[in-house]
Amino acid sequence: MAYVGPFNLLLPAGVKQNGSDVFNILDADSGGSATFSVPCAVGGIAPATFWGARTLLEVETHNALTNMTTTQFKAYVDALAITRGRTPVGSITAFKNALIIGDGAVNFFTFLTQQGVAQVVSGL
Amino acid sequence: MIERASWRGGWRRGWLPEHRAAGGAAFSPLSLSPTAWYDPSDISTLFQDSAGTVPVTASGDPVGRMLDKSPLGIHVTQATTAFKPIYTVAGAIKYLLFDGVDDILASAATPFGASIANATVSVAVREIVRQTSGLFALSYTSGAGDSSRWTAACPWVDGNVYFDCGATAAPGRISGAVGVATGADFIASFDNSVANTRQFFRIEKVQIASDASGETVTTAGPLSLGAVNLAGNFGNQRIYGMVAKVGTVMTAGELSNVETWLAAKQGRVL
Repeated sequence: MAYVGPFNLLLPAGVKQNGSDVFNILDADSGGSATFSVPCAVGGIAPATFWGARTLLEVETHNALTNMTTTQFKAYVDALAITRGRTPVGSITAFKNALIIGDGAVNFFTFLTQQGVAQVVSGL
Repeated sequence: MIERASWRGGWRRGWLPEHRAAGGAAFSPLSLSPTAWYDPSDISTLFQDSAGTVPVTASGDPVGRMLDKSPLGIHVTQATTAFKPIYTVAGAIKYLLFDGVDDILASAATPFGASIANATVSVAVREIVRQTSGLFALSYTSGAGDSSRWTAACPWVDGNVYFDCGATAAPGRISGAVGVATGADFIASFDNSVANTRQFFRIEKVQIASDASGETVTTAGPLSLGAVNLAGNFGNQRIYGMVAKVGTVMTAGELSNVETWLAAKQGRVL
């Protein structure tokens, strides 16, 4: 598998479930549904209104996320679900339209600041 | 064959004199019967997927499984690509790069049994960004009140190292300044022993903090690298290797040899 990145990702909380369902398919490994794990909010104050991740992406997945139309992306995800034996997802429109992909050369927390949010932090 | 030829013609990298124990014998962590030994410079122990079917072959690959080179086979895994550290090669140096956002490798829960009373752990690390970071755990589940912790935050955002065995207050916790600048390689070692009634940690072979009380930790969580649990406090750091001995502790000589051996993984003499 060839990867590119890493990339900084951010997704509105309302789309998190859809994003988890899609990444359950996009991730070549079995744990893709957990991808968006970083709770974020304005000022870092709970509850989380966004969820973030920093991840490598397969070359094909990166191309699908950045260059495909919603219809093309849906076909790509459906085909991948069959190939990988994963649970198919319904609509991917909300996820595809809401996902923010940031340059991985930027520190993740700087990326969050640029998006107007901060991590909701817990203690050790 | 290659090593023999190299011995005659001069030491090749990886078998330099500083990699050898006192007395001249070649040192291997295996000689001290470790209970966990992770060596990212050995690419044969690394896999891209958590199941261990796709080997790591190049710098930049994600690491979803790292094999334990100790006889116990406490392998650490990660099934979510976003949480996987990245295998990185910089010249002759090889390490795992943890992003400080969500990366962690972890074993199955309680790999050392129901409790840990005596253990020594040494880790080769470089902090990249100072933040609320965990380095590793021999056991931890979650929460500040978790008494199953055998953890090292090294360093925390305040520049201190917090070494916790069963509690976040004395006598379970000892702490002290890491004393190493961000961006510099160092070796951190941690020892907690009921048998020897002691707890200490040291950086670059210099003892930073200690007390005269060893703790028995009733374990609950997994061994982890790159953070202490999935809930947060991930370290933005390089990890070049880790050697742990659990059940008994390393002798002073063993620990020194391990630290020297780990520093060589960073291309340094210690």
